[in-house]
Amino acid sequence: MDQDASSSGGWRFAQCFGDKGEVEDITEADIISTVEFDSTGNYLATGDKGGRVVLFERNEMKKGCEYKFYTEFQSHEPEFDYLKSLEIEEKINKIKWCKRQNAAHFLLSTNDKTIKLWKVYERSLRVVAENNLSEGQRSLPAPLLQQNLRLPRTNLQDNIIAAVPRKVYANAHAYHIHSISVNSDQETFISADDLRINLWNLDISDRSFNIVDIKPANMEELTEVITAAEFHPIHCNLFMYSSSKSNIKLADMRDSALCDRHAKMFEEEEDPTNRSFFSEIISSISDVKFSHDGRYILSRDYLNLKIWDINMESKPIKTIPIHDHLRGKLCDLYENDCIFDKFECVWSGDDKSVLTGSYHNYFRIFDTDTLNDVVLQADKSAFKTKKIGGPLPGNKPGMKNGMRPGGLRENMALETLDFNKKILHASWHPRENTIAIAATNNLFLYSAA
Amino acid sequence: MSDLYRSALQARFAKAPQLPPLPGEEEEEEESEDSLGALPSGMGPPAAPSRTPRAARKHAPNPAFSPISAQGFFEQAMQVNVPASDLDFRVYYTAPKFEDGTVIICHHGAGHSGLTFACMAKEITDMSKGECGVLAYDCRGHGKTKHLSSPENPAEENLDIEVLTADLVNLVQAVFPDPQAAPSLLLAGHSLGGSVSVRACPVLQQHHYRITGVAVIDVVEEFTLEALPLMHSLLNARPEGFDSPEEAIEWHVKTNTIRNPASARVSVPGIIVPAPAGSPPSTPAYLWRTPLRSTAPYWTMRLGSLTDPVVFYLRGACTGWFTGLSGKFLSARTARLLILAGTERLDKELMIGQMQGKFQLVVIPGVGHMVHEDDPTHMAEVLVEFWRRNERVVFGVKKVGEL
Repeated sequence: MDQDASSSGGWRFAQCFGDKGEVEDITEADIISTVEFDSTGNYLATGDKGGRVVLFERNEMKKGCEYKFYTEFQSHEPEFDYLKSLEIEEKINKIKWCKRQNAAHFLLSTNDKTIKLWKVYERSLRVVAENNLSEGQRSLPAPLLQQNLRLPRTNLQDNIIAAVPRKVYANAHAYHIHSISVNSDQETFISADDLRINLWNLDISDRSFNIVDIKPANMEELTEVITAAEFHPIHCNLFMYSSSKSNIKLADMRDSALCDRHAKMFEEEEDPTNRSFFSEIISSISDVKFSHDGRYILSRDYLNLKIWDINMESKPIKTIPIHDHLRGKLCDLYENDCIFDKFECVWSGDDKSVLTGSYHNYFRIFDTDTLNDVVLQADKSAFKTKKIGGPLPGNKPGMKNGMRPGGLRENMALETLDFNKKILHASWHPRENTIAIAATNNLFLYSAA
Repeated sequence: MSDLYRSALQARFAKAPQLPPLPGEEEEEEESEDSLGALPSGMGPPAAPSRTPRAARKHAPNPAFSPISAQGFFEQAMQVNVPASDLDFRVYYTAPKFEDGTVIICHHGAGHSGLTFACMAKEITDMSKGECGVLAYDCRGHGKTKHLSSPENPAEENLDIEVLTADLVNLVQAVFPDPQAAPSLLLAGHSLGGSVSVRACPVLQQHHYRITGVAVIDVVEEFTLEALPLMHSLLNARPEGFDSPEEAIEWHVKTNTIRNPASARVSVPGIIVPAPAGSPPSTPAYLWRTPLRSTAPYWTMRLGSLTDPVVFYLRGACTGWFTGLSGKFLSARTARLLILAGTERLDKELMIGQMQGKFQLVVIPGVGHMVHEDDPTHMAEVLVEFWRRNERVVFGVKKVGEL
């Protein structure tokens, strides 16, 4: 639909995976908790609350953007910590792909306590077709002479995709792991929980180094937690971590073994006139990402996206409000706990755009230079409109031909936002303008020409 | 967000007084000094009052919500001079039929008045056939209680919990001067009144009054303290005033503050006063009797507008309204009763106390925070039963709660 494209910045709905039923009766285990494209963009991984990882493969036969189901495996199982009498959820918190080195795929998936390295590869199943004593179904007489002995022959039966856990990195975190990041050297990775960050070698699963520890001596004095961590995409010695106190620290591992002293700290002076009871909670950074060229940092707190230049620590170069109309509703959002939602933020493959989610299944894509934005909604309406061509919900009937520019932006500020439908997880294809959005139990794919 | 972060946040909100103020917060306290009024800053979101424009709301008073006099509910209403508290209390009293009966002394919650117990008082009188008397009074700064020295209604009332407790003790001593001849007392308090009653109980016992029991209505320390930061937004949602008592009653019923219209018609007139003559024309005809916002400094130890370190230290010596409520309740040396609305939970201290059988817990379903107004019948049943079970039977037998 040309009308759709112009009002939505060229983005078209491409595909939707998942049970497209009503939101009232979704099984909790189907809720997608993480989405990640691999470094080529040909494979897409999703993790859900039930501990399963589902992989999709790009369908090269089709001209446009289309993904098909590749494989699924159960990555983590629910566990019980007998010492603390706590359940360990099997929900997959993060998936990160390793760069492809051979025919097999390697990816790291983590739940609250354990990280696993999975090898996903194609295996051909062979069955024995004939051996010395039988050929197919019929049995042969046993050979008596040496030259009648034959090697058994196998036939190709099927190609299956197998997933095997190659390494299990366990028992290193006392608190819940929320981030993992593979280093550019493809040899090490970090895992971060609320108070500590550990450095692992992909080949060694029984040991890790602790490189950041912000646990106070007296837990009663706890004021700050780590909320996200990531390695620099190019420099293997740099990584950053964000905190609930609205600062981002860049650390250099060459400095010392324990990277408690940061090399750079990115924090914006808070405007004292805007302080309110909730200032601290909404300024807590929920996600940080390096740009692909490693020159910029994108951070997301509750109401804004901020783009930082890695060379300037004092303030971000751009601040983008996402859903400012929620500023007046902070009290209600505190009551229903939505103020603690951790939204992710994503760079586009060319670093020219950024994406983040909001409530009622809305998500926004901003151009980093002009700050023009596109508002889209990952809803059933997306694929209904494609087929029927009816007006988008919220637009007045009869306005079909004259779509307002920026279509859904006004709708985003409607009073009737459903705070149970939120876009927390998304991923952008590294090479083209294709995005994968996780909307509760559905995976939406959008593509721009 | 992680549970760790959330629990750390909540711990900080609860413990705020003990921690040294963070640099940012100190800053904002100084800023509030510059502005008019003594509203503590930083405890509520920026004011976003949700009032509809004045013109849109004027309409004829709704007769279904016309106020009812308290005459049919209490036997008498009187003004009691208590020089010790420098107050002229408005007291609503139904005397017990017999000399050695029991009187239930009711203390209302913050922002309410003694009339809140009117419906319940009538039910109690009926159920106990007059054996049980009820005394409900307007506490300092509420209802028709005035100061003896001028000004009669000072703008700034000292609503410290110790002062309110002393008021209750002084009033009891004024109404029943002789502890031996006085009837047994059952202290019942709603919300803030519960805290006052619990603190007054040991003092009255020291003065040799017989306390049959103490009943606390719908207040649990931990959750009240947790909710205090949100009070400001709740207060923002209240209209500044009303054009008529009917409108005020209707508002309370419509917003489900008081779910029982009959009770609202008696109690709401006690919490509004006509606007003083000479107010600007945009003010509504009837204003709140007690401006709750100005009581905010007394809620907890966290004080926003005081920077004098000496005063701060002295204030720190006295406590907020609900601090230590659970502990004091459990250590009261008399029968204990806790009445909660359907949705309430117990905090850790009370839960342990309940498992140890230290008090009686009654949960009344289908009511809001104004338990005694929403369901006065059920409430009266509970109190009368509590009284019957604990009234003094034979001299010399140890009463429940006596160690």
